[in-house]
Amino acid sequence: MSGTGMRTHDQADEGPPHVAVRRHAERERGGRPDSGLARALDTLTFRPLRLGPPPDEQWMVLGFTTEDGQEGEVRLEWRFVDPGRPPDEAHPTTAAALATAVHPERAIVRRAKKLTFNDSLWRTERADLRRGSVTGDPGEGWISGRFQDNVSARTVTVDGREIGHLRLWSFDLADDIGFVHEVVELLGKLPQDGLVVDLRGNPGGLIWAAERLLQLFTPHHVEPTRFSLLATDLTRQIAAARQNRGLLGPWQRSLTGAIGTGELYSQAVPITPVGRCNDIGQIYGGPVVTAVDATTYSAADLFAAGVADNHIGTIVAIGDATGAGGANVWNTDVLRSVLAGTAHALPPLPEGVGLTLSARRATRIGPSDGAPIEDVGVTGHRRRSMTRRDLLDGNADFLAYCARLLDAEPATAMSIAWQAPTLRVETAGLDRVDVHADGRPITSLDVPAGAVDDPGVVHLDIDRDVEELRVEDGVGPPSPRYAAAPDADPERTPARWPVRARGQATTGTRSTTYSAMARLDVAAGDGALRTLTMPSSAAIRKSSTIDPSRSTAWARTPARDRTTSSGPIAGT
Amino acid sequence: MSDVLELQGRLVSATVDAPDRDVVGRVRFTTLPDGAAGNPFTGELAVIDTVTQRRWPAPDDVTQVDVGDAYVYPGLTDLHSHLGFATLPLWHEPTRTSPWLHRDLWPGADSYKPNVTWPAYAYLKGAPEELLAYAQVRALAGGTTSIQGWPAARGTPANRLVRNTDDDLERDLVRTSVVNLSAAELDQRRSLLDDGHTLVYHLSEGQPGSLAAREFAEAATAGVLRQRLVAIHCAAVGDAELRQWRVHAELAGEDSPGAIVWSPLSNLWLYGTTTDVVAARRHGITMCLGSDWGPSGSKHLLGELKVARRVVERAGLDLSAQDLGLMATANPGDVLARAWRGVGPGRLEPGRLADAVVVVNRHDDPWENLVRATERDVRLVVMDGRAVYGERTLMRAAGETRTTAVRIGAVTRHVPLRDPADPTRTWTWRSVLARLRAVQSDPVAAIEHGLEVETALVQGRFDHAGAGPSVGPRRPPLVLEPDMPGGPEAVAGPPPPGTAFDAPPLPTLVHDRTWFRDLDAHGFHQGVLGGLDELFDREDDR
Repeated sequence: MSGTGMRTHDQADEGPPHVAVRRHAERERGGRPDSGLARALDTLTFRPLRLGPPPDEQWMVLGFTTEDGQEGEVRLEWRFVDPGRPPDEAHPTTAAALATAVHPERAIVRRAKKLTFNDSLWRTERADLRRGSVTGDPGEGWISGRFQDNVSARTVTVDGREIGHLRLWSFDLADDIGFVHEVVELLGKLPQDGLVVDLRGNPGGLIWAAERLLQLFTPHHVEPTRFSLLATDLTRQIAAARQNRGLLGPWQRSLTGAIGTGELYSQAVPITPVGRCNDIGQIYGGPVVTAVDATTYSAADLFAAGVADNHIGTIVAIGDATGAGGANVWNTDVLRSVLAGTAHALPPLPEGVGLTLSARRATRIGPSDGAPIEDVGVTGHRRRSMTRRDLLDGNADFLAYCARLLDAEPATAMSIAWQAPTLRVETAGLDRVDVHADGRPITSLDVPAGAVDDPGVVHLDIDRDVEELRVEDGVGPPSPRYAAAPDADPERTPARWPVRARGQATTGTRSTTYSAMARLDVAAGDGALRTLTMPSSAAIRKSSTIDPSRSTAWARTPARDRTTSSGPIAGT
Repeated sequence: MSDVLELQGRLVSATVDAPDRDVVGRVRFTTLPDGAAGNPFTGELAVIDTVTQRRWPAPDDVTQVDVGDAYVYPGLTDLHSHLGFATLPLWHEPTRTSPWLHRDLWPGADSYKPNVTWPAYAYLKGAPEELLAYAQVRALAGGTTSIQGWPAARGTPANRLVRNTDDDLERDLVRTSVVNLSAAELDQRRSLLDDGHTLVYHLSEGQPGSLAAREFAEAATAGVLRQRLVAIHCAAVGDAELRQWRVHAELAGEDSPGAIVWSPLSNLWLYGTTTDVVAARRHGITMCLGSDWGPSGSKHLLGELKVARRVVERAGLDLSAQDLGLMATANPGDVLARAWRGVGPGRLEPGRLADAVVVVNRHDDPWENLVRATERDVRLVVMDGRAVYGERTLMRAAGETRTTAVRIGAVTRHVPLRDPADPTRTWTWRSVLARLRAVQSDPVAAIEHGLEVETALVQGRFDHAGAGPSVGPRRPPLVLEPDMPGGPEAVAGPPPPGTAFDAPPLPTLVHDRTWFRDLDAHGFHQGVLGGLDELFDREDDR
C-alpha cells in the first residue's frame, strides 16, 4: 500500500504503509498506544459510522509490486456495509445489557469484515442461532453451532501433534448459558491434551459469558474481576433508582458510604456472580494457551485477566498486551434505561446519534489485586509478532509456537473409578492424592509413579456409604507467597497440568450417611481444600469427583480455602 | 613496585576449547581506564591482559609473582551465598525427625530464630564491617573471588576483597530475589529479562512433589524460564520441568536455557534430597555451585566441591572432577559474563576479569587437585588484579605489605584489611574477631548499639554516634540489612523487645572438627555426608 487519501501514489513525501497507519492512528483512540495503532490498522479500510464521521478520503489507492517486479495500483472506492446487529443481542432493559463490556466500534468492524469476507456465514447466523447442537468434524475445519458468530473450533496438526484451536470471536451475545454450553460441547470434540484459546480481535461483549468460561479450564475456584462505580451523586441516584436496585444493589451501600469517607470509587464487586463462575467446573483438563492481541477488548480483556489471575495458563500476546478496555460499557439505550426516574434522565438525542459510557471500572484480583485494566490491558506472558506465514498460511508459525508451549508442559493425569466398596485411582506424574468423601477428607494416599501411558494404580476400600467421592492431588494454583507452616507434612504438590483424559464409568449406591472427620488419620493439606469437580464419566484428572448415584455428573467447584497464611518467605 | 601484576605458574585456564589443559606460563593483569576498548563500564576495570605459555622474566614495569609448580586457576565464583549469615554454625531443629518438605517450613521451627535469625541480626547491626570482613575472608580461604548474596547495604564497606555479584560493576544488571515472587512481580522480572538483565532467583527449594514445585510452574507461566535466569536450588522439580525450561528458552530465541546453582549440602541437610543435576545438564542448563549459608551450607566453595564429589560418588553420577571444577569457575563466570556485557570471571583469558587463585599442586589432574584442595592449599588469591589473600611471602611479592595475619586452620594467611574508622590504617584480624565475639557474647546489646548508630545516621549526627569500631569520625557508618525478609514471618530480623538469647559460638573459617561432628550427627542427609572429613584429607588443619 502506498498510502491513503485523495491521491497518494505519486506523492514523494508519503511514507510506507506504517506511516499511513500511524497518521490514521492520530485520529483513532485506543486504550494503549499500540492498541490505538492496531485499531487504526483495523479501521484504515473499515470505518464504523455509528460512532464517528464518514471518512475524509473519497477513495484509496493501493500501490503494489508484483513478484516479477511490475508495479501496479488499484483504486478502491468506499462501500457502505451494514452488518446488522449481532444475532443474539441483549435487549437494553435486561440485566445482560447492563453487564456488557464491549468496544462498540471494534464490534461493528468485526461484523463488517464477516459480512465482507464470509457473507455465507453471516447470512446463516440467525438461522444457526435457532438450530441445534454443534455438528461436523473439527479435524476437517472450523465447526460451530448456534453461536457461530461468537465461537468456533477446529483441530490443528502441528509437527505431528494435534491441538485444539478454540476461536472466541466475540462475547457480544445475550444468552450466556447457551453460549457456555456450546463451548463445552466444542471442547468435547477437540484433542484433550492441548488447546489454544484464541481471543485475538475479540471486541468483548457480555461479561458473564466471558468470565463463566474460565471455570472450564481450571480445577480451581475462579474469582471474577471486580467493578466499581465512581462515587458521585449521579451514580448514587442510579444505584438507588427503583429499576436498578436489583442489579446495582451491591454497589449502593458503599456509594452512600463514600459521602462520609471521601472514597473516589465504590466498593469493587463482581458483575458475574462468583457462584456462576464456578457452577460447572473444569471441562478441559489439558494445558491451555490463551492468545490475545491489541484488539482484544473489554470482556475479552476480562477473560485474559481471569486467565492470568486465576493461574489458568500462559497468555501469548501478539504485541504487548490486550487492548486495555477494562470497563462495563453502557450504550445510549441502557443509559436511558438506568437513568429513568432520576433527576438526570437522558434527554432525547438527535436521530442517529448515540453514545457509550464506561460506567463501572474493572479491577483485577489475585496477584494483580486492585490493578486496573482500562488503559493498561493484560500483559502477555509471551510476546510475539505476526509472521508472513501467519498472515498467509493460517497462523502457521503462531500455532507452532503455541504447540511447543503446550508440549513443554509437564504431564500429570488422574482417573478414578468407584465400584463399591473399592475406589480405584490411576495416576501419572503424581505421588500422592487426597480422598474426600461427602466433602470431608478421609485419607491421603501415596500413589505409585506412573506415566500417562502407563499409569500407577492404587485401590482404596471405603467401608461406608457415601454420596460423593472426590480425589485430588492437592495441586493448587501456584501460590506466590505462602508462609511457614511448621510440620504441615501433608503439603505435597506434584506437577501441574493433567494432559490426558481417562474416563471411567462409575457406579455406586446413594446414601445419606456422612462420614465423620474424627475417623480420619491424615489431615488434609493446603491443597486438599482446593477442590475441583469433574464429570465423572469423562475426563477425571488431577481432581475428580464421583457421585456414585450417577454415571455422569456435573461436579461443583466449592470455594477454595487456604490453610496457610500469606506472607513473604525466603530460602537458603 | 609496578601496578601491573603477573602470576607465573601452572595455568589452568579453563578455556572453552581445552578446559582440561594446564600449561606452564604467565597470566598478566591490567587495568583498563574508563572508556577504553573492552571496558563497557564506567570507571576503571581490571582485566586479564595476556596469558602466555612459557616462563619468562617480567619486564621492569610488571610485578611478577612466581608460584613455582602451583596451579593458577581462575578465581572461584560462588553464585549462592548469604554473607549476612556467615558467622553462624550449622543449625538443626532438635525436635525434627524427618526432612523438611520445603523452605517455608523450617523458619517456623522453635530453635530457628534464637539460633539463626536473631544472632544474624545482631552481627548485621552490631558489627557490619566486621561481619563482611569475616564473610569475605572465609570466602577467600576457599579461593572465592566473586560471591553472591550480600546483605543490602547503606554505605560502602571499608573492605572489598571479594567481588559482589549482585551490584558490582554496574547496579541492576543482576537482579536478585530470595523471596518468592508473585505473578505480577514475575511479569516485571520478565520485562527485565527482555531488557537484558539477569535474574538470580531462589526457585523450588524443597523436596520433589512439595509445594515448592509450584514456584517453578508459576515461573514457567510468567515466562521467566529464560537464558538469563539463574535459579538457585530447583531441587523440587525434575526432568519434565527442566525440559520445559529448555523449550521456553528456545521459544524465546535463546540458544540455551539458563543456569542452576547447586547447593547439595544445604539441600541434603534440610530436605534429604538435592537437585537433579544430570537432568539439568541433559537439557543444557548451566550448572554452577553455591555454598549457601552457615546454618545449612559449607563454608566456601572448596567445601561444597567435596560435598558435590560425595553426592556424585554415592549416586553414581557421570560427573568428573573437571565438571565439578567448572561449576565453580567457568560456568558461573560465563553466567556473569552474559550478565555483565561480556566481561566476567571464571576463565584465564584476555579480557576476563582479573581474578585468580593459586593452589598447591598435589595432583597431576588440575581439576582433581582443585576438588581435593582445602583451605591450607590456597596460597594466593588475586581479585581485580590485586593480591587480596595469601601467604605472607607471596603477598609481599605481589606488593601487598600492609596486611594482617589471619589464622586459617593450621596455617596463616595475610589479608590487606583497612580499618573502617581510618582506611589509611591496617585493620587487625584480632580486632575483627574481638568485635564479633563481643556481639556473640551480648547480642542484644549489639543490636541496641547498631540501632542507635543507625538512628544517629538518620538524624545526621553520625559523627557523634558514639563508640564502636564501625563508627569513626571520617566516614559514615555502614548499615546492613538482611537479604531475607523481616516482618511477621521474620525469616530475618530482630527479636521481640526484651527477648534475651544466646548466640551460638563464632565458628572458625575452615571446615573443622566441630563442623564435621555436626555434619555427622545431624541433618537429613541420611549418612550421605557422614565421614566427609575423609575428603578433606587434612587432619592437621583442624
